[in-house]
Amino acid sequence: MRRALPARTRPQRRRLLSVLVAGACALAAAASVSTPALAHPPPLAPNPVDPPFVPPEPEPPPAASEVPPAVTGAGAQPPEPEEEGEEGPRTRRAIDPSVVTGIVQPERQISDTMREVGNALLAPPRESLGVLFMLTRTMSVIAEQQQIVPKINQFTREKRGEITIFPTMFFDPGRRPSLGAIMITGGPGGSSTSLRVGSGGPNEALLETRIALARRSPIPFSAVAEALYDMRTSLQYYGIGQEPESDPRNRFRPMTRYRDARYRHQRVRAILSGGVRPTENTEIFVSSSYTTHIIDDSPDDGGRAMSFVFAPGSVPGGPPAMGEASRNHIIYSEVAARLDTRVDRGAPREGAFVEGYIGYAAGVGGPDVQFARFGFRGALFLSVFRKTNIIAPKLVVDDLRSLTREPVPFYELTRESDFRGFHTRRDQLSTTASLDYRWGFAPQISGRLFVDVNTMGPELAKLGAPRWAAGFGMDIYASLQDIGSWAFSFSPEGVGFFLSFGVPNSFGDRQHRE
Amino acid sequence: MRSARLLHLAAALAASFSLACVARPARFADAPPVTEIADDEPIDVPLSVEVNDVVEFSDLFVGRPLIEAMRPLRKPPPGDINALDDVPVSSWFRPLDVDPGAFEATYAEGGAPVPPYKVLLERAPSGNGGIPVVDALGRRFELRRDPPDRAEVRTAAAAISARIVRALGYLTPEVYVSDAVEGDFTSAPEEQHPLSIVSGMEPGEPDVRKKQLAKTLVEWLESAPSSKDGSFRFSATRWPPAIDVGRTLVAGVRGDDINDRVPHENRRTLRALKLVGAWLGMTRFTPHDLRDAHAGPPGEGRLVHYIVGADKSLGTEAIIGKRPEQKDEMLLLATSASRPDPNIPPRSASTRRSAPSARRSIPPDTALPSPSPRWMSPTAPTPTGPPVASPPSPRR
Repeated sequence: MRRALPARTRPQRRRLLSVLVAGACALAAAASVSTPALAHPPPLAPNPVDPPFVPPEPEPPPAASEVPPAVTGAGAQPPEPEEEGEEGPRTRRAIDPSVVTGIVQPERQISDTMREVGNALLAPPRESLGVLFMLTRTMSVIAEQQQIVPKINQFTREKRGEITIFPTMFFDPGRRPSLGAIMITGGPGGSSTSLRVGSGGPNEALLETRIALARRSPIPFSAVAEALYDMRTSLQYYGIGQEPESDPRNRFRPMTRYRDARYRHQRVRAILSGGVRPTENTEIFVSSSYTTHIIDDSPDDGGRAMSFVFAPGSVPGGPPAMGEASRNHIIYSEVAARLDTRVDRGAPREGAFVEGYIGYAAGVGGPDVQFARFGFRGALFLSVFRKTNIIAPKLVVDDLRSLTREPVPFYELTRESDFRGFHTRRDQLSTTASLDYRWGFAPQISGRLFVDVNTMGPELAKLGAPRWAAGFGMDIYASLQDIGSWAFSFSPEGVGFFLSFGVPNSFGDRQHRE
Repeated sequence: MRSARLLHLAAALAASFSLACVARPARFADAPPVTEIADDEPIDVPLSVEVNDVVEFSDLFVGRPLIEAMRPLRKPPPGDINALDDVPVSSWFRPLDVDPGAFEATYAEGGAPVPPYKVLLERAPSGNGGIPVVDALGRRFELRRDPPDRAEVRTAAAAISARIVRALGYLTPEVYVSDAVEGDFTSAPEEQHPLSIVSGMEPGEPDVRKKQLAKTLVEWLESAPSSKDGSFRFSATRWPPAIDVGRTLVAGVRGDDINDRVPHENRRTLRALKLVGAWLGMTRFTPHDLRDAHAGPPGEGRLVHYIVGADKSLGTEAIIGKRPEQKDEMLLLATSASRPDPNIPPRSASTRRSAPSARRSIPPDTALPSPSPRWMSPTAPTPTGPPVASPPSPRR
């Protein structure tokens, strides 16, 4: 008959456990102590009674046929043959660092444990920063694919087969996070290619490929060909005008409490662009694109879908009816000219910047949509106190005019150009005035304070009440171009955080607009 | 009960922590010290590495300091020293016999350039500015001149420092000070040296190449005044001594070189460059100043690592001041290296306020008696026979 053991009480078990833990620690401590102690026994004091120590006779050197002694240590390899002279070996060759240094066990200092603990604690921010700078390394290639013609002195890169692949992650409030990857290759000369893929679920997809080429002779020029397919959902549409809720051009559905509609946007786009730099400070660009837009209700947003917030068919370019999708094909061509007298684009430098453009768009195979875009942006970069303290007033005007009676699709309307607040408005005319103060406070890093004022409207006389945003940030730049920047922006609508890499934020680009 | 458990736990933690903080010295293998690093395994000619300045400098001066500031571990010991704490001979460090005769015979192996010079439409990466030429013996040199208001300063520094650095054990190209008249230079727009260093961006049209070469030569000749006899003084760097394969990486190892086993940031030879630069009065030491060359007969070539750009040494830039091309380069040296040269008296406030013409100046003339040591070749003889030099191996 089996006799049941007396059950231990809970406090007894805990006491036993704590004693066991303490004992294990003591044993481990004893083992740790004994290891270095045995490895390096303390020197013994000589006994005066003992006879003097006589070293033994040295052993004869091993014969050439004998196997050389093994080398200990990680990564050890058989030592290289030694040249021997009459008085013994003169040279010993090796290449493995562990053999060269001869260190079998590295030294350890008392502070090493604390350093290792600190190193482990700092690993997350350190590795994050490492990834960030790894991205900047690649982003410099991406920057070359922007609508910029390099200056002659920028043609110094000799890229041969550099291939970089890194993951991407996009977070946008109100939307699903998207994961993807980008592969960039640098070819000989100034050519580069990139392939970008991403997905955030069944309604979020991205595939983009781009080939860029730049040459310095006979005059610097660049050419870019690119293709894109993407599908995005839960995009926000607030209506037209500076005050969409009160703008009579917007027809909200009765009985809806939402004022921001959600829609799904699919694009198939191809762009060809080329630019030349006839003089050191001027650039001329010609570009043309063909884009197919498919707009329908956002499937995951229920009552916020565009057809539920706005009267069906009332949004130009939006879903014609509930549950249906609109499809438009638009060709857009543009000529832009740019004058930038700054020596470098990235660093705070004195100079002036002016850009003007004019473009024409036409619908293909659908409604007779035709419109023209034109605008300019100009900025002065003035030094105050020091050469690297730059105050820069800037004015940006973007206008869009319909050339037919057909309304312009809402996704083609002008947005708040260069405004660093929230981008929630669309209309035909946008003006943004801004004042930036930049100062270089560390090598290749500058601080930035800014204030932006933006207003929009159907025409100059009907601009709405201005919106403002102010904030601060930091730019990382190299001598010739921006690498990246971040900024916090404060406005009555909230606080925004902006992080950008490789994209010169002072340059307009209508072809890649949303 | 609870206090006893906490006591046990605290004791265990204290014991573990104190034991983890045990110090111990390094233990070495029972073997004679390595006296030579066997990094001479033959390799194919690797790809040329020309790292983008944008990337490299942002990484060097922003990224790495920030990241390393968050790594509180001790710096690992150098991987290129032996058990005696010496730097063995390797492709990075190979001391010479510093006896003057022996040193000059070994260092100045090829000799000064011999006119006439054919100017090439190529890059001159062994320093700032300069033009690549082929001399009468078919050897490629890169010629550099003095600043317009400081005669003999930079050219002398280039030749002196190259020898000093070589005498320390680092590998440097041969540098000579020489002079020539305008008629000694001709342009060779179509000529390409077997050891050419091109960027791939050179224009291809013959007319454009010819114009660009002519412009380059004129600008180079006019960059500093000639001496009274109409000659132009320059320093001539024999580069490349073998096939130039681009810059030495400032960190990590070259993946295409099996001999490169020690991360460069862990090489004592490179770590010590701070001190070498400070000693030589270099206000900056950039990644441009380290270059690799693939040397050796075909099939047995290996990488050799050189230090170039010695013309910035001996306080020349402290005298000359900031040049336009260095406006965005950062100081690589520690603060000790960027201190002003003690041999140069500091400028007083009155001097700083004075007009440029009132500054100290060295007469832009060669009227001073020239010492004419062996490495100076005021007038190199023109060879009468055909060129005798031939390139060591064709570029792949």
